[in-house]
Amino acid sequence: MKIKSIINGKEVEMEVSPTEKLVDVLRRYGYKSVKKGCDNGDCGSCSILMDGELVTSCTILAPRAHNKTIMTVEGLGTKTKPHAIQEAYVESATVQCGYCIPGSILATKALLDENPDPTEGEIKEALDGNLCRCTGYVKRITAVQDAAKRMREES
Amino acid sequence: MEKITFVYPQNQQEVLSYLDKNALLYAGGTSIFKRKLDRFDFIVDLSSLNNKAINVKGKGLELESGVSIAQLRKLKLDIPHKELIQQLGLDTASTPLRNQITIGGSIVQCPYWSNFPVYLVAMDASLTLNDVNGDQTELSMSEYYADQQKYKKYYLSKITIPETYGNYESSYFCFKETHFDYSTLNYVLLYNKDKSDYRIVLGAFTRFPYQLTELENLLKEKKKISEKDIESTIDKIQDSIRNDIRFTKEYRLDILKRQLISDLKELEVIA
Repeated sequence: MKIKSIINGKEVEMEVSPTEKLVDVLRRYGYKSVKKGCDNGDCGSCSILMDGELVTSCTILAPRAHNKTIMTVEGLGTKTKPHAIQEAYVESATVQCGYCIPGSILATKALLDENPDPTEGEIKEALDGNLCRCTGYVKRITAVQDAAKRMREES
Repeated sequence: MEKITFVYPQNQQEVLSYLDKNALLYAGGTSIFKRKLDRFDFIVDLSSLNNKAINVKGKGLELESGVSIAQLRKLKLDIPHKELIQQLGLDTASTPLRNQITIGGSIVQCPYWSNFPVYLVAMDASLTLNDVNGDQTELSMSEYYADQQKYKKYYLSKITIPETYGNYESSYFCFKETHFDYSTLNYVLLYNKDKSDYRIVLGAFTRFPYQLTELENLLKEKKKISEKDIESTIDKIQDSIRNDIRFTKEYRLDILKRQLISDLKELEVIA
């Protein structure tokens, strides 16, 4: 079956099977930032924003994305023009292997869109679905706080 | 040629028309991947209904079955037990999953990590179920869980929490081995101000939410009970206590007795 979604601002038509997972479809259509980790909703590597909400694309059937707006990290910023959140993550040295980062960045975006000045507790809660085996999370909290500050200054 | 048809229903009537077909009702969907999807002829996407309203009715509460756990976690209405509801939301899964999990799906699937079904049983909540003909059935959650197989081909549209829930204070116990371990052991304990009425409902200690009616009645009649009273009422329900690779029956029984005694001591109802 065919579905149409707005992905990173562009209308995209995709051929999907009714039982196919959204993570597989997105990767098949070139959105490789959407990582497959646990494939079970537990690790958050496959997190995307769907209609502005953070969701794990490995627990969503692809047809549900029909007529939805999706953001992956490819739509947030570029190498030459990174988003404030991406800058903050890089500059705070919270990126090691990088696998959890796309999901974490989108979780950060979802948090800061709703709450531009989160407490440490709110940051921990918002990112509680994005596991990281490399870092121990401390620098990630710093990155989010830094991103929040940058975004407040920009607005 | 694809065997399965994915359906985007526009209204409840359309959902009901699939109840007597080989159809999967797809709510939040976080537990559907445990099932073999290719054995269904239809997948009915309930999110198309956008049935996410939370209504205050007098002093009671009405939830449409599509309300997400995230909505409950972020509840802004000034209602009784708001903090408990928010805590239950926080203890359920993680942020992206809370955005997907629905209260209706939680009740019907009742996975072991579910908190809200336990709370709703304790609140004397009732369910509105609809059959393929559109006929409505209202029943308490306890009745629903006692005979869930009978209601397999019904659609859960609404959950109603009665006004009386505002009369109760609440306590909630949730034991997790680690922050990322959703193998919780939980119960909800409610009591009114003069401690003449109680609701004690177990969560993942048992397969479905289990109301400890005998203990409730004992507390109502005797006002003060002994630790032995608690232990013997728990021992009587041993057969209903789960035993699995996460926690053995003995471990669950031990945790349950200790924590109940501790909570009831705090309420000063232990002689």
